[in-house]
Amino acid sequence: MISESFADILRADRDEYNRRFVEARLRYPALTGETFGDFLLRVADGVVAAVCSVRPERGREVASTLYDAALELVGQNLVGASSRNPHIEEGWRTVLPAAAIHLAEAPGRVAAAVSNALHHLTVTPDTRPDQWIRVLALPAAACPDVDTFLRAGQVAAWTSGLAHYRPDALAILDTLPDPVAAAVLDAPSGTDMKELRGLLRDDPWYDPSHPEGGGASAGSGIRVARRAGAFRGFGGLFTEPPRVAAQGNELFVASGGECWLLTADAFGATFHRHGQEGFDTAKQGIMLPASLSVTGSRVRFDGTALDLGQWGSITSSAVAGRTLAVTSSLSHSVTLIALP
Amino acid sequence: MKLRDVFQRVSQSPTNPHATPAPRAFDVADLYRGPVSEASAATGASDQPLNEKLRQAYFWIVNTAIISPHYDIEYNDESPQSFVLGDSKSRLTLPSAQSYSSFVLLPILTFAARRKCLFIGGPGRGKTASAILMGVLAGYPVREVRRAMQHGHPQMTIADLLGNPLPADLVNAQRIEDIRISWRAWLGMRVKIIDEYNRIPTRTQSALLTVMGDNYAEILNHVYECPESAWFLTANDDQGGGTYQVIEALCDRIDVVVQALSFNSRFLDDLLARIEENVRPEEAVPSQIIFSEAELDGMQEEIRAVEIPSEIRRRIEFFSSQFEFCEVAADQFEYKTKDTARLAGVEWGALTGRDTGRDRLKDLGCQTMNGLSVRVLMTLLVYAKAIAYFRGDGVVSLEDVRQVLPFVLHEKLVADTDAPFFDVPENARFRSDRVGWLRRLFDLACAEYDRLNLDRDDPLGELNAEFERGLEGVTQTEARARLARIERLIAEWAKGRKLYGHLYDDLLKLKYLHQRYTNYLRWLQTT
Repeated sequence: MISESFADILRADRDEYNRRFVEARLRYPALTGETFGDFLLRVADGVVAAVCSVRPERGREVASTLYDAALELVGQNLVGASSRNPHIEEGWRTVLPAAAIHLAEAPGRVAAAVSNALHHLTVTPDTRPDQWIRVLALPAAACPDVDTFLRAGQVAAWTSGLAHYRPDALAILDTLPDPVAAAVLDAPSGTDMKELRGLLRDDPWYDPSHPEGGGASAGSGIRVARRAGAFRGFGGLFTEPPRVAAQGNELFVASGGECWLLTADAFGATFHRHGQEGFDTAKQGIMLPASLSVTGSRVRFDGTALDLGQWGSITSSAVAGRTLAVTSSLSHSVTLIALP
Repeated sequence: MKLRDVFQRVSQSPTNPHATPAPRAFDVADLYRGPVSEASAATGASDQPLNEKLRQAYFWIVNTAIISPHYDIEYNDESPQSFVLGDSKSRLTLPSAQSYSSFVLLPILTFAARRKCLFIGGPGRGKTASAILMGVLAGYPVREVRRAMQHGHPQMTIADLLGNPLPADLVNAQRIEDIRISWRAWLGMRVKIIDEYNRIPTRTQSALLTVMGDNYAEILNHVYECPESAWFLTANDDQGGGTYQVIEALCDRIDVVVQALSFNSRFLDDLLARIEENVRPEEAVPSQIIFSEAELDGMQEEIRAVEIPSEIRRRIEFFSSQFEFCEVAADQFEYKTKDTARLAGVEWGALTGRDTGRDRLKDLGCQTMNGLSVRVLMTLLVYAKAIAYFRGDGVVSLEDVRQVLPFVLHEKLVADTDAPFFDVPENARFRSDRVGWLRRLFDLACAEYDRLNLDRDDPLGELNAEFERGLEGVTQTEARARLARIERLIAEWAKGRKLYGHLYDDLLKLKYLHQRYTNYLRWLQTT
């Protein structure tokens, strides 16, 4: 049953809303009234109700904006009963009501940001959109303004797996109030936020949700921090076991004549298509530090060793910053090893 | 801003992606860009390149507004698939790169470069609708565009077109300067539309010529300076009665001519949807593809900045040099042009009858009754830059020139359909296919250019480059040596070679260089 407030708004501008729907049908021929109405009823209604409870005078504008956003999303089959992506809809159910005060302030900006961020996370392999929804909903009301809320969302996107945003997110983190920063980082209560920011900046493998076991510097040895990438037949990128190379702090991965830039840290690993010349240039300068050796399937570093024999013999290796990337003969993944 | 605009969207992904390396620096602001457009995008605040916005406008029109499935401007990255069909061996080509519909692309380029475009074709084919869309792209409400559109009709007066003196002032004014003029609103718009311009009476056409040519309007000694604008005119040849001969100067001011092609009956569904849903595309133009005045200014500057490499310029020079030369038109070398004969009123058949000695089938100049004006060449360069800009390239390619050339020369280069070229059976179709003929003409010119190996062996080019470096420090000995080289080259060319258009232009250029060195030498000797 649709809420009275939303029903009143739709009724008041019925002709205008109907016209917009017809226009949207031109752009999205698959858009049906049934699917769209269902989404309004099940999802958008709750968001409008949440806004009306905090800023009733903004209900009409928010409803109008959400209506148009919903047309775009349903039209592109990104939400709705037949969509294979549940996260945007879940974001509307969870994040938007939690951020009702910000939505009332800037409806177009907030609705688009939440929807687009979740779309971004959903289409990027090995990310955690559900984590983004959870950690952003918590501090949403505590954010003093729309900008802070959206900046918190950007940091949360990094911690939810978009590793390539690490430099920007670290800079933004410094601008967030401590309670908001702690919430999006999922840090245990009582954490010293100043110290935590420093640890995150210094160590790409430091995980604030596991302060004892995370980080390249945790313990004295080396450890497998993450495995990234997979065989294309299983939904990954690679048609054949990949090779790695490094240039400066950048890792390049090549497989089957294609090349990617790999960004990785404690929160995730993402691949970005790149010209083959990136790998070729990096390959020429490939060199491991003297303290590190790779032989057969074993990696040795300062007296400690790791055996990666389960994935076959090591076919390539490269170091970028505090990360050693290795590939193996029997695996379509890149093994990322945190260096102390 | 109307809220309905907030989420009207156009393509968010690059419309003509180039194989540029992925950026190594990531911007977290990208997180909030995606399938849902946000309100701020509708305000025009956008950091996307203007040519991307232009392409978005093109694709929105092609995919949503105008049902125009004709991709007649063909680009290929690799050899295209092509099929031969029918008794007449018609060739259907499937382009391997992004290709375009001239009916939408040429108006878009005209809009971006602020030039003048004429739509031709039978009634009801979307000529006026396209022109209105261009007005909307410039930021005017549909209603304003419609009201500002000038409809040609046989009773149209100068006052109808430009404005009226205020009646009270006409009665009370003591001096003509005191009479105020109520100018028509369309004169101040950045997109000007003249519907059925061939129905405007000749006298009013002259007033229109002043506005089109010199960008101002004049009534009773009062002058209205118009802003720089793009012009869209329509002409309906099937109109029947009530049309006037368009004065030649007005025709000459039109930069490109584009034909509205026939409706493809397989798209009847789209027409039906528009009737049933009562939606007019021009009323639903997404705000993201509407250009501000500053953006239009910026786009024009960016188009001007597109480079035309010297090797492309040389091919344009070679092509354009083919047509003006007419060996029998005059005695003095400089006057051996078709224009000389035309000004003298010599009958064309008589003139061509006297033109003997050359291979009239091979000589491209024999296919036309005129040459190219400076204005036409400038227009060609502008549109070549515009299409390269539209495609996201900073440098004009030969294909860019080849594609826009037929639309620029459509009404400018007049075919002599009695020429031997058109008597060849496979060329007979070019009597009615002007676009195809012009493209073929350019291809033939390029083939001849290659045959003469002018990219590598261009003695005049070397002499010209030498001259372009300046006369500063050139000694008398050196000047004499250069004069001797010019004379030797002319003597060499004179040995048994027939005169063709490109040689004629080269010889005149050699004469020019010779004269400059002669004057320089004289100056050296007297100082």
